[in-house]
Formats: sequence, structure tokens, C-alpha cells
Amino acid sequence: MDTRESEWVRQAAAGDRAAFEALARAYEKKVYSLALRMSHDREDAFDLSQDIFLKLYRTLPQFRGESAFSTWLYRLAYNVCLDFTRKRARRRELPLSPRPDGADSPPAEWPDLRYAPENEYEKKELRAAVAQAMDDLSPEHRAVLTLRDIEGLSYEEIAEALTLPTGTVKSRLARAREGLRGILVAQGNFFAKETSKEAKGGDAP
Amino acid sequence: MNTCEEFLEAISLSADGLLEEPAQSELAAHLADCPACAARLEAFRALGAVMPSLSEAPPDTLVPGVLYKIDAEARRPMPSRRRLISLGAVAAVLAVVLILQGKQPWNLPADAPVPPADAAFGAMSAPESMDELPEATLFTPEAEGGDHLTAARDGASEYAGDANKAAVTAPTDLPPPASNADAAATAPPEPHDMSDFINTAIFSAPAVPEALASYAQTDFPDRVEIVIPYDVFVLLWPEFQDRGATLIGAGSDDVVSTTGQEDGDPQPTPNELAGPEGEQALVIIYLG
Repeated sequence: MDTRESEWVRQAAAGDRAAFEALARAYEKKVYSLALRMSHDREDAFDLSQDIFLKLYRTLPQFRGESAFSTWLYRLAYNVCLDFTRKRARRRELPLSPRPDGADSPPAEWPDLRYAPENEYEKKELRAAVAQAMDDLSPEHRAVLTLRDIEGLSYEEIAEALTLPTGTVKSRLARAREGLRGILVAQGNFFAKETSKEAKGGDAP
Repeated sequence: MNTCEEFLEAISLSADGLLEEPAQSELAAHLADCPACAARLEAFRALGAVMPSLSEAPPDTLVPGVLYKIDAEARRPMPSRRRLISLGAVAAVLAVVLILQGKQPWNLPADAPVPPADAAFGAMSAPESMDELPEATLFTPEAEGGDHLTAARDGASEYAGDANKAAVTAPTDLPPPASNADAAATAPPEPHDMSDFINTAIFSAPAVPEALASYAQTDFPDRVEIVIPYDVFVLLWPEFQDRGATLIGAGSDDVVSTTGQEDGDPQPTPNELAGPEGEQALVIIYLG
């Protein structure tokens, strides 16, 4: 592990405010991005991130170095986010769809994902579509996709962060990707050509 | 013969460049005959290329906000688990009082008996000993006195549903609270003055002393921590505010959202801080 980081961890656990700040700065984007994908709301993500870092500050003395600090923090962050999504799910009385903002009907000019977006507008549309589709996945699928494809963790790190066997991470990630693809296909233009009729995997020839 | 479903994991791994032989060759053979799975792999790769752009930097205020809250907590440590448990007892007592004394003093007719605001509050402001205090307070009053909020009992009349809920958790064998109203009616409360009925609520609940005795010894005489049904708190908060209280934090979990209370800090609304409706909230109020 990064020796500078392990030094920060040690000092912050001993109550060093500056070391804690350095740690928080190093991880704020990762934590916030996870919270954002888990909550799909910037305000919630901000609040969740604050809660995560406050909890980190309180529980850092309990960090024993048995896993990497980063995966330990991801586990903490994931648990806080999961707790939030479950509470929110309980609070929501109506089913998630149809969405009130009309996101059910995709814009007519969504680009086909198989080609690189040609301009900033297309990139933005694409990002928005994927972000929206992710929100329709289960929190567990959202988390594994975020940790792998957004945060770039290895399968082993994800397994540690989510306290899952690596084999489960592999299968969950595959199902999450397929779920995401399925949502985008169902919405319209994405990946639609060859896959729409056989999206659920028929027998191989 | 493998089905497409069975190749899903291999496709996912392959998109990550992590599929090893001989699985990679088996997949390649399948993809040659299966346009659907070939498209699936393409889609996974395309998604993998797009996903990193979903990473987003937080607002600049994130880390400073966290540090601020840490500093604020260092000045006023959060209640420990043990204290939270006794807070639960406080909440139960308060809940009883909320039910039993569901009147709104400021709405009473002028000639109605009212709790002795000045007397009770005066006793709190300059106690000579704990014996002179009414049965308990939520905190140690400072010798100079000043505005002391404790907790409130009102809201029951507007919150019948809440009263039912509270009744479930409250001890059922409590006698009705002795009313301070007998003592005097000399000082009709000013409209919207909470002190009298807050005192009444706290002091007249028979079970309060044990629950609150330790509370009165808190090291933080300028803050009050109560556990109260959240929706009742929302109802009461304007009254607390009228008396100069500042909301430090509220929440329904061991993660209590806190906020700054230095001069000039914007005050949060309870709605910004609180937990789900119907749950108990730990509410921390600064009285300085």
C-alpha cells in the first residue's frame, strides 16, 4: 500500500486532523461517486458522503489493517449507502416507474453505444442514459458496477469491500451488466440491432 | 452444449480482458455462431468505456464540511450509546406527557388555569441546590440563568395518531402527572412562550427524575439532547426557535446529521436533518 497513505491512516486514527483531511481529499471523489450512483441524487450523495467521512473519522481507530484501507473505506461507504437506499425504498410508497420526469421515453436521438459519441452533446446524453438506467438496477448491482467500471477496483478488491466471494462478484457483475444492457435495449436505440430478439439468451447453435 | 446464459459470465470477464484459456477459446467459438452474444460482448465493452465518465467530483464544500462537523463534535461530543439508551427512557416519559397534557397553553382562554411560568422558570434559572429544582431538568441550568429549553409536551392534540404510537412504547402504569397548575395562576404565559408548559411537562411526570437525573449532570449545560417522535419535533421546532434555540443535529440513526451553529451559519430546517417520519429522532439543540 501507498506508504504515504498508510501514514495518513495511522495518524488520522490517532486523531490527527490534518492527516484525516489528506485522506478525505484523496478519497472524496471516489466516495462521492459511489454515493451518487447509489442514490442517483447529488444532494443525497453529498449528505451520504459527509456521513461516510464522519463515520470514517469515528471508526478509523478500529481499522486493523487486515484489508487495504481503500477497500475498508469502500465497505463502510457501501454499507452507509445500502442502508440509505433501503430506507428510501421503504419510504417510497409508489413503484419507481413510471418516472415523474418523463425519463421513460428516451430522447429520439440517442446515439448507438457501439460507436464513439461524436460530440459533447452525444456524450452527455449517453452518460445521462446510462446513469438513469443504473438507477433501475438493484443497489447490489449498482454497487458492483460502480466499484468495477467507475472506480476501477479489481474483482478481489470488490470481493473484500462487499464481503463476497470472488466468484459471486464475477457472476453478480455479469448479471448487473446484462441488466444494464437490457434496460438500455428496452428503452430504444441502444444495442438494439442484433440483440433485441434474443436478449435473454436462447440455446446456442 | 453451453447456453448463452452460461456464457454470460465469460462475456463479462472477457470484456474486462480477464478471461483465461481455455475459456477464451470456447467463448470465441460460441461468439462466431451467436450474433446475440457477440453483440452482448460489444455492448459490455462499450458500457465499460462509458462508465468511467460517470465519476463525478463532489462540491468543494464536502471535506471542509466534514472537518467542520468533526470540530463541532470535538467541542460537543456526540452522546454515547449508553446515554442514548437513557434518552430512550426520556423519550418514553416525554411521550406520556405529550399524551396526558395535550393542551396548548397559548391557546387557552385568558382565565384558564395555567402553569406558573415565572415561578417554575425562575427556580430553574437560579437554583441554590438540586433539591430546589423542580423534580428534574434536562440539563444543568447555568447560574446566570437564561433561556433554557427542555422538551415539550405539546402536539398531542394535533397529533392524535402520534399519541397512539407513543402510548405503545410508554410505560402504562404511570399515574397522571401532578399539575403545577395548582400552584399558581398569577402569570399568564405570553403567547408562544414555551417555558411554562415545557417545565410543566418535565416536572410533572412522576417517572422523570430517575431518567433525567443523570441528564441534569451533563457536561454540556448549553445543549439539550432529546429523543422524540420526529414528526412531533417538526411540529414543535418553531417554538424552540422562537426561544433562541439552534438546531445542532437530528437524525434517526447512529449517524446523526449535525450542522454548524457558529454565528452566521445558516440554520438548517428540521426537514433537512431528520430521519423518516414516524421514527424516533435524536434531536440536539444548542441553547447558547
